[in-house]
Amino acid sequence: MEESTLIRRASQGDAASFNALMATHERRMYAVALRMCGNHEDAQDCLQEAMLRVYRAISGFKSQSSFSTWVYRITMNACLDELRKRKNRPNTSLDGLLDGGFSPTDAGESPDGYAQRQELRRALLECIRELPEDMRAAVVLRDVEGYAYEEIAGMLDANVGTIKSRISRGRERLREKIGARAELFDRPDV
Amino acid sequence: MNCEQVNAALDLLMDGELAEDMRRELEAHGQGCPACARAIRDTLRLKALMSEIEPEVDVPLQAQAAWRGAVREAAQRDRRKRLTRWIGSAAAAVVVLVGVGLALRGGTAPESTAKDAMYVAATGAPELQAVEQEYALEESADAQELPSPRMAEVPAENAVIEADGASLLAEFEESADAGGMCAAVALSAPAAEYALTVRDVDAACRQIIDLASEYEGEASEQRLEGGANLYVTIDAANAADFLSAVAPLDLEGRKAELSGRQSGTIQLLLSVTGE
Repeated sequence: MEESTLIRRASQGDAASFNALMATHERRMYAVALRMCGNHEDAQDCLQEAMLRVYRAISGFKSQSSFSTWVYRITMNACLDELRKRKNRPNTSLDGLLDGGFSPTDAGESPDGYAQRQELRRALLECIRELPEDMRAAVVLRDVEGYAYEEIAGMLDANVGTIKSRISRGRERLREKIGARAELFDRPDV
Repeated sequence: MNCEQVNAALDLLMDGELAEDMRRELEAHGQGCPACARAIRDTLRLKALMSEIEPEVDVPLQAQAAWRGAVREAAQRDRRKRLTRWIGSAAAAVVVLVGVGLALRGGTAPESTAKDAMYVAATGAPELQAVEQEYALEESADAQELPSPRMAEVPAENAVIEADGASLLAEFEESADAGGMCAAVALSAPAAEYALTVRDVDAACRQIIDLASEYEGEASEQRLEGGANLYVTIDAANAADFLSAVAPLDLEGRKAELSGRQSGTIQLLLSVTGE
């Protein structure tokens, strides 16, 4: 069934159409939430909150704009709100992050090589998570999700210049963090 | 190229939009500036690491069930609110009608008018009745228990099962632990069969049963040694969406394709095996 039909039915309160519509977006929504929150538990809460917000607002969705951009904007706002609420909460473990979400490793990779790559990935995720929220959101949407600067500006409700600046500064900080962990990132075998 | 220009070039490098001539300038600058050389190297490393992060992630079934459950509850609350609004509007309309009727008749309402007013008050406007009927049907459906993880035990012989008004001849398979009784029902000739290997068979079965319910289907479970067979009866129009929702469970070993030509109610067989 076409997306426009599902949107129309969902906006009339058809829960089955809503579920079918959002099933095509939930993987990316969850990925955004996971990169923003850094753990599965919070990502699940953000996904649920974002889905509820989409459900409540879908009757007002204007079909002139892209539905996916609209959905990811809501997702990102749900994540940022959730992160603000939990600011004082102690950091949770990143262990769950390595359950999935990375490209499969080469079949010929040695166990040692695999373990080292896992360590690198964990370190990178920690570096991303240490970024301020606005920078993290922009960097995740650009460098992980691959959105254009204009789309990101629409999702984060900022102008393109601001988004480019956030991404540039975010990348610079990530480079500094990588540089500060030279013993890990500079190993010749990785 | 100077050090200030390097930062802008590094963004282009990250975006994969660095022109060849700028790339050469960047490299040339890096050869004479250790700090920028380091920044270039870290950028390339960062770009490589970022590319390994997948833009999509399998959503844990628990998370899928959580958001679907939350949306279902929100939909139910909306229906209750709508009903409450209708009742309020209808009651107000009745009061106004009775008042107008009494005023027009000089304060004495004939018996028939009073009866009509009482009837309207008791049953509401036709629109209200429609909403109430819809609400009652949905509440009734909500109140039904989700398909039981285990089918009721039945004698080990052929039997006729009523489903959606149709009689279906069911074949019973004897369960090893049922002591001569059947623990599950297998309808003949599923439209498609799938095999899943999961870490936790119980959790996976519960989630599949929930998802079947979400997509307006029904699932029955047949316990096996080290796994289970789930027979999902579902409208063909919803089958593909249901399967895509189950896909994060590692839907592998497909034994038969789901044909796009299917229509009406069909049955899917999902064989779940523990790792």
